[in-house]
Amino acid sequence: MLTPNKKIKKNGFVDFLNTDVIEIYNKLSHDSKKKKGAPNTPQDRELFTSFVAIASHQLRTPLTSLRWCLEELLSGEIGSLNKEQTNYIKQSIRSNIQMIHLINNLLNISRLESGEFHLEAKETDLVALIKETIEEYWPLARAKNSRIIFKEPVGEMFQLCVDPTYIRQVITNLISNAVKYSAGKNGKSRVEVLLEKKRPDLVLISIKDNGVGIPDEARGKIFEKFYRSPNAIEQTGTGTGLGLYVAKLIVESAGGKIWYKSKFGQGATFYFTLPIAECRLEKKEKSLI
Amino acid sequence: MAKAKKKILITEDEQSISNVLRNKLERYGFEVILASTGEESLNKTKAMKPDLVLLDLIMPHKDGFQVLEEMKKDKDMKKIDVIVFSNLGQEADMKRTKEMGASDYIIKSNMSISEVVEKINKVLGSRV
Repeated sequence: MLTPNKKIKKNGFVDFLNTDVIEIYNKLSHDSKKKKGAPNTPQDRELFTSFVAIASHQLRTPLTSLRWCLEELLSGEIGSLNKEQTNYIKQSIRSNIQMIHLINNLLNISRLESGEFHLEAKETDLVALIKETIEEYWPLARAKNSRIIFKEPVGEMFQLCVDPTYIRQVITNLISNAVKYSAGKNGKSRVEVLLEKKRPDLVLISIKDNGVGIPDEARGKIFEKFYRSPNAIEQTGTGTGLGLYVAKLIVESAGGKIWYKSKFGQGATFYFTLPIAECRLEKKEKSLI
Repeated sequence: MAKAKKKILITEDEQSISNVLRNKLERYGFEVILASTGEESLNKTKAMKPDLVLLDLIMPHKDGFQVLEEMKKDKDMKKIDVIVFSNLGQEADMKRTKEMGASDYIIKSNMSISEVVEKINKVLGSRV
């Protein structure tokens, strides 16, 4: 059978890309298309992963163009905007970034569920990674009147063997939720990120907010795919119910655990652990080209 | 005497992206050259000697990996800084381009346009 990767190697990636993504989808077996969940043969899993990766790439491209054009309008460098125009542009940027996060999450789900996926672990400075992720999220937090505080550990190194791309996605998803579900309370909110060594072989990362909290009825369901608690829906209609599911998939693939503590109406703290281990021989993630 | 403008070659087949970035970079005092295919990028790099190349990976005919490989083999082009500029977010691709000699890797959709300018300044500023 001609798998996408074989075709890429044989004919070059561009030939593959120029075939419509729907065509790739159509190559999936009838069973895999009809069944929910992961495709059920190794060939289909590989095909499906490639399909989603390429579809995601093609979705990101117009979103990039849209994001940069909107940012240029907002910057004021090419002319000034009135207050209402500024608000609409800000709102459009937020929606655009949300859409990019959604695509990133879908891509991760497809990879993690396909069973063909391996985290590409490498020596990573966790402190630097958390700082970079917070900086990336800063404009959205500011727009929501939210402060993100990272209590940086003093005098300890946090050099871990993890896949930085995916751990960044976990932190982004948790911070994004913390900011989203805190906003609106007195107009201001505060998110605290804490990193500590729990045991010699385990680090603990926690993300605490002072927001709406999680009701008891959501316990046990909150990490399920597409689940959104009733008060989360009430707070904001724009969530997808994928962020925590993706975070759980990634953390567990990395050998960690994820959980939360919350009192309804009094905020929530999400915790996840990562094992401290030396980097051994890497498992290679396949390049698409 | 006025300082010579730094020259940036944007290799990008999506016109809406190259246009908005060109306008931004020109406002920030750069001279900008555009290329929309791998071949065009190599020809313009050789002829116009930019200070930095922004290189997309997925392009018609010749992809970004091939362009990077040819640049780094060529005595006139090998010292030119390259920032890979893609929407493929795979760690494997980032690692491969760094090993091939790229100075940095940008996932376009995850960065604001101002952050792209900052990256360019950082790479150019770190040149000895």
